[in-house]
Parts: sequence; structure tokens; C-alpha cells
Amino acid sequence: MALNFSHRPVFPANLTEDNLLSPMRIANGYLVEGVAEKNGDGCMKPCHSDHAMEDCFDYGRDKGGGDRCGSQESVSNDIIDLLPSDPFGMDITSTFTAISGWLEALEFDYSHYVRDEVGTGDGSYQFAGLNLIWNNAMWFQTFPGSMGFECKGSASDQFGGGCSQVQEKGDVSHRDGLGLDCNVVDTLCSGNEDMISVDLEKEEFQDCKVPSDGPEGAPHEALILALGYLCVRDLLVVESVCTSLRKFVLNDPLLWRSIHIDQPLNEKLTDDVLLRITNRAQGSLQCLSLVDCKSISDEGLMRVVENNPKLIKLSVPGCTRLSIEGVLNSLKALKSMGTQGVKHLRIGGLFGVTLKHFEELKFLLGIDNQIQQIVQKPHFYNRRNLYISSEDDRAIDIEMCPRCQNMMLLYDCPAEGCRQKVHTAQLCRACSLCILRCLQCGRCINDSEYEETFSLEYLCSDCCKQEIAKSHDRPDRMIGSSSLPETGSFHLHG
Amino acid sequence: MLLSKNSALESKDNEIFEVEESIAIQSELIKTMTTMVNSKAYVNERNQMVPEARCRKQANYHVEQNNKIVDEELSDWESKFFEVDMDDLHELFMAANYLEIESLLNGVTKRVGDFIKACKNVEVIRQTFGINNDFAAQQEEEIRKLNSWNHI
Repeated sequence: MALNFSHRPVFPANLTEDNLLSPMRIANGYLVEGVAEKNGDGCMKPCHSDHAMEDCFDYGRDKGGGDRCGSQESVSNDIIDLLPSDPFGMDITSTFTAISGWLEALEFDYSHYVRDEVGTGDGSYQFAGLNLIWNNAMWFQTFPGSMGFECKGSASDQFGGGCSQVQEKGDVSHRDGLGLDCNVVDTLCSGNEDMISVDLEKEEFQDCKVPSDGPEGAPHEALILALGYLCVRDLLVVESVCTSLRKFVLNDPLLWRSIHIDQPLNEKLTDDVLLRITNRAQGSLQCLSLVDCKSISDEGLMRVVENNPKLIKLSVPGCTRLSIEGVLNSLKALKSMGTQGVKHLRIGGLFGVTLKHFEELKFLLGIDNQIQQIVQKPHFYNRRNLYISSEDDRAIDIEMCPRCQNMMLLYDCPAEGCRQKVHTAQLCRACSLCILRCLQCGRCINDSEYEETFSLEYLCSDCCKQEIAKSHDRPDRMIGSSSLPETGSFHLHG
Repeated sequence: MLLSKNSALESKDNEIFEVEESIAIQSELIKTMTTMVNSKAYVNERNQMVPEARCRKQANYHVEQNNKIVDEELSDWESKFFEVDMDDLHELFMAANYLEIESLLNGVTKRVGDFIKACKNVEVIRQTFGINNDFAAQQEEEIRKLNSWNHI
């Protein structure tokens, strides 16, 4: 006998508490439903066999074909969807609304402890305000006196502790971000919904007992303190996470005191974006490092410099759209603002730098001839290390090439034979045009076999063999990826 | 035996830790209390919210830190010390914040920074730290436009 299941699901998806009971009334082996069926004989539906009964309730198992009716297909297989959403009537929003109403009745003014510009709906606003009270029993006693500095002894005192710690630190110059800016600290200490610990839902900390029962979903304070350790790329991701993090990222100039832009942002960075990012420093930018940012123009750089007179380190290697005149103009503009000016400059990869330009640069940077002669550590040619870092101590990266007399980036040679040479004339130290070098190991390849890559770089025969060996180990790797030399045409030179 | 240079710290769980005073005062909070109480020999102080596990960790952290004089050894040890899951990290953070121990706090926040860096995009950060997206639709659209330069 064919089982005649109802077209309506036994457990409708949108159950309320009342409805849940109705389909489950089973009387005398009959499945009784609250609403009359359109088909059949009215309310009573025979469910004769045990097997059928099981099937009535069996939503987890994979259903076979047969006479399963359409209702089975329309019902979710996941029991979670079938359970009522709020079986105990714990409507959170209405609960808090009620309590806030109660507090208002007590004429308890907590409103100014909550940030005004909360972007979300009313529920969370009240939520946030309430959390301050719930989590800080001591605040009832100490407020309106000391704001954040004495609120010890409660779960959210992490914030109070954080505040006092930050205040003691004052202006942290050695690392950005840990010492928050004064107005940010004020905002924090005036009490806002961020002083709630996060509800950690990820599986690895399911059992984490978050001490304060604040509103779920707000960022933990540790995240805010950790912002100082993030690079520009990560900060740009974090600012899109939630409103409070966004506020911290955008409004804390200490986070933007030292800006370093490298792969992959360098390819996309334009003048406008650069200006927008550097403006976040609110005039306190000290180090700007743009590596291979090919879209940045002289005007763009000038605008940044004009807005940030405190700039000390400027590093623009590989920014081929910049001209040496543009860089000089920027440095002169800084000088005219009366500040210390740039003391460390990196312009490796810029072409057309003459000796005259160089002298002018030295003057603007305040370089003494004697200082320039301090022995620096050797700089080897390598695809990942083409430029001298701005962390390095030297004032300027380019020098006069002993072979072509142009102002270029010079490279030392790691080859055994070359390192032993002592006489200046024999030193294997010149620009990359005068001495061809292997892109991988940096050794000079004038006398030995080498191969030319598709990108017109060179690999010595040893490195080339290594690359080929690697590509054989990974046969699924496509030839033509950036780190592998194009093996389309191999020309052995030597 | 209670040496004159030791401080006794009592945790919330009523467990007493004896630590050298020089280590105990690395916590700014304890240092302040010591000054206020004006007692060099013996400080008994209640850490209201700091459960035993945290206190033990603090004591351990400082003892070890003071033992490791060589920089390399210290940084190795520190990186191992902070290789804990979110749960423990959270505990450490709360303790460091409450007791105001700068070096511990730095280590913890640095590790949190590593967690953030490991997240590939906004959604992963939200999941990892349990943060809700509280942007209004309009805000989100504006942000998307502002960041459009970053997306291919």
C-alpha cells in the first residue's frame, strides 16, 4: 500500500512554539494534524506501520525515491532549520529594550558614555550602553568620578587597565599603534561598546569562557592593540571588518607614521590613493617607502610631501614614473618648510641622475663627504633584494659607478674569486649594466656560461640547472611562471 | 620560607604565589600597590579577577624571561611561549592588561597581530575573532567604492 504522506511538511519550517505541538499529536496510531487536509478524509491520516512512523520523523537520512511526496523535498534536511527559532521566548531585543526602559525610568544617564555615532540599529545602541553597566558594577560606584582608571575588579576592566597603560605610555615613538592617539584614548575612556570581549565562535576556541558577557560581535581590545603590528596591506583589510575597527584604523595617526608599500599594492597604487593613505597620518608621516610603485608621479609625491613636513625617510626605488627633478623639488619643498627634512633617501632604479643632481641631493640631505665613506655591508644582486632597504643606515643608496661613471645602484659580488680582490680597481663592484649578474645568486657572469630569461634577465648556469631541476620535480607547474626562467629559448653564452 | 625579597601574591582562586620582588614589580599594578602599601618585605594582595592559571603564567613568564639573558634564546623561548591558541592568548591578554605587564602585553598583541596577518580577507577575520559586520548597506557600498582600487 502506498504511503500517503501529507503535502504539508510534518514540521513546517517556520514554527512558533504553539505550532510545534500541533503536528505531533498522535492519537491511536494516527498522525493528527491541526489543520484539515485538502485531500483525503479530513484530519486523520493513517500511519499504519512502524516503518512509516519512523519515516515521518526521519529527516536526517537520505531519502530514497518511491512515493515520497513533494513535501519531503521542500523540507530542509537539516533539523536545525526545523527547530523553532525561539522556543523559550527569549527574544533578546525585546528583553534589553525592557531593561533599558527600566533604567531610563531610574533616570540613569548613561547615554554620554556611549559613542554617538553608532551606525547600527537601535537594538545594538541600547545593547552597547547596557553592557557598560552590566559589566562594570564598580562603575556605578565610581562614576562620574574617575572614568577609566579605577575601574578595576570587573571583567571589562581590561579597558580601564588599557586606558591607564596607554596614558602612561604617552607618545610611543618606537612603535606605531600601541600608544593610541590622545583623542582616540579619550574616546575609548569615555566608554564605548568596544570594551567588550569578543564572542569567539571559531571551533578552536569554542570552550573559551569570555569573562564579560558583552554584546557579541564587537572586536576585542587585543585586536586594537595589535593594529600597530600590522602592515599597510593588513590594515586596509582590517578597516573593512566593522565600524569600530574602521574608526580606529582611520583615525589613529600613529598607525600611519611609517608607510611601506610593496607587492602587491604597488601595482595598484595611484596618486590619489597614496594621498588618501598618507593623509591618515594627519601630518605626522615620518617614513614613506614606495617600492616599484610605477604609477606615482612627481605631482603626487609633491602633494604628499607638502602635507607631511615631518618626513625623514623617503624611499622610492623602482618608481619609474618619478624623475630626479621631481624628487629634488620635493626635497626642496620640505627644506623650505623649515623642518629637519629628509635624511635618508632611496632612489635606486631612477634613471638620468647626473653628478650635479647627486651633489644637490647630498646638500639637501645634509651629507658630509666624510660620512658617506663609512663602510656599508655588501649589497648583492637578487630578484628579491634589488634595492637597498630604507632600514639601512646610509643616507643615499646610489653611488657613482666606477665603470660607467653614472650615478647608479651598485652591487657587490658574492663569488669566491671576486670577494678576495682588494684593489679598488679590481673590485667586482659596479652597476647592473656594467657587470651582468645572475638574478638568483648575484654572481657576476661575464666569464661564465649564462642563460637569458624571457624577462631579459640572466641566470648563471648553476642557478639555471637548479630551476630546471625544480620544474621537473613539479611537473604540474606551468612553464612561464614568474620564478621560472622561460625555457622556450635557451641560449648558452660564454 | 618567605625570603625578605619575595612578594606573595594571592590569586582569585586563593592560591599564593611567591615571586621575587624584582619580578613582581614588573607588573605596574603590583609595583604601585607595593609603593602605596610601603612594604618591602611582604606584600599580600588580592588579585580579584585573576584566576590561578593566569597568575602562574605571569610568574613563569617573568622567571623565565629573567633567566634568559641571551637575546636569541629569549626570542626563541618567547615565540614558543606565545604559540598558544586563542583561548590561552585571551587569558594571557586579560592578565597582562590587568597586571599591567608591558612586555607580556607586547608579546600577546604581537601574536594577535600574527593571527590577523594569517587571515586572508575580511570574512576570515570576522570568523576568527567573532566580529559582526555592523556596517549599514550604504556604508558598505561606500567602502567598497573607496577600496575598489585594491580589487582587480
